[in-house]
Amino acid sequence: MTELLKTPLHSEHIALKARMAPFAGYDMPISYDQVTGGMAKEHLAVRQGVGMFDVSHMGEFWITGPDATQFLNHVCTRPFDKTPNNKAQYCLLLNDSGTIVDDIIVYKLDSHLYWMVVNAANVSKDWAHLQSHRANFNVTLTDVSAETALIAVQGPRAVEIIESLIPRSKDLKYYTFFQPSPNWIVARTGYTGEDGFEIFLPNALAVELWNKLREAGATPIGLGARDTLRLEVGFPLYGHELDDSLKPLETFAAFAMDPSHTFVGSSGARQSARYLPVSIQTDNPKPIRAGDKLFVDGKEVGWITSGSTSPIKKLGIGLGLVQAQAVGGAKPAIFMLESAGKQREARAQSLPFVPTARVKAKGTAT
Amino acid sequence: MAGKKEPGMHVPEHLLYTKNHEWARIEDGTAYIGITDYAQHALGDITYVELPEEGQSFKMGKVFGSVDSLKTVAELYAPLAGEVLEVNAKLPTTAELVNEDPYGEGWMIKIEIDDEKELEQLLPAAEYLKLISKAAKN
Repeated sequence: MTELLKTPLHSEHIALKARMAPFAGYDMPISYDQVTGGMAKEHLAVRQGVGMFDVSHMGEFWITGPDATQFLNHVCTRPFDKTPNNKAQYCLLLNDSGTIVDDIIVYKLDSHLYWMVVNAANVSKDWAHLQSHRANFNVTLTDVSAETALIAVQGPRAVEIIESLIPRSKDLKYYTFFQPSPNWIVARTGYTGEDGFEIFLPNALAVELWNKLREAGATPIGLGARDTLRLEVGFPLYGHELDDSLKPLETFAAFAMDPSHTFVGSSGARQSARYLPVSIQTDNPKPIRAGDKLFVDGKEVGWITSGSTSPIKKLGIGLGLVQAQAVGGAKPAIFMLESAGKQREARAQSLPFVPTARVKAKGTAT
Repeated sequence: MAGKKEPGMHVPEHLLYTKNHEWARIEDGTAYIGITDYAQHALGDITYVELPEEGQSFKMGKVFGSVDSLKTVAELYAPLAGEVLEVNAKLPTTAELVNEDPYGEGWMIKIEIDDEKELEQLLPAAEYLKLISKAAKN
């Protein structure tokens, strides 16, 4: 086994006695329980106050050159021609057959200059994918993952402390960004359903910002609570709800595919869905687990891709997939959920499981 | 032994323990049963505890329930044989009591002890502490 990588904030996590675990090749904090009291308390700190996350393991690429916009139009599920400068856009990279290589956020500085953030586990795969499709475009790709730190600051109080440290941040609208200095990007984005910011900065400056945020009152949050926070609002996670075998229409990221746009994988992606994504809830706090089986009328129809107990609702919540044919193409309302050989009832629940200021309930199952 | 103990290493003197990290408090032929500080700390945030019904009987070492945390699930093994006299009625709605007070408010079941001889097979505090200190170092 190769040695685990460390983010520039690794020493801070050790100083805070975080529980550490390997994630995407990095030694990452799962929970700062000796400081916070555990994952559930970290979760609530973000819903009610403000939390800070080291997500420096994520990958970052520059895409530059005269054809940068055309290149991104070619490889992304949404076009960038009409995207204003200083706007970010969530989209997907697809294989030729239409299955999902990664879900990414692309930040447009101008039509010749873009920043892309990709999942940590997919950096080398995405890099190879982008290289394989760049032949006809005058673009330069630069992988700056190893020298870039990323700190997410999330929660209803995020704006107040970020504005005090980085003036003008409060003027940012959702999914916009600015550069307070070169090599920094401050974006009003996040993965928790709360208001908040994601701050890209050079490695050498990460510890200073982390400690200033801590002094300003932000609670350190590990990857454990990051997962329950995103799950409560139904955000998909690559490797669970999204992967190389699934197409966008089979996932909760279907909204990220522009129906009138043509791109790598677009014809395959528009074929009829083999799977339907489902979101379910139980009536007690026993956690739903990834891998639990889903049954309808005694027939196994699918499985759970992510599950937990919602710390806000105190009920089991989960995302899963069902075979479209097995359920006649319609999402069932009631399931039997099987875990370790035992079955219990679970009901379809529209997303988000927990409506937040950022992510409001749509009223119907998506 | 003044000062704050390492998290998860609290082992009260007056209880008996199993290698599976349950404890038993013996009172007049009955035993209160729960999981240790070490166990709750290792499990992390506990969200759900599945307990038996009153009147059910278990042999020593048999599964009598399970504990779910956000991270994982663990089975509960009866430290002693006996019939369940009472279950902690607070746990279905406040499972976090097991994290907050594993030897007090977080108790799980009270049983009538079948055979007091089984007590000899349980670990006294000093031995259990030795066991978990070793485990913590590895």
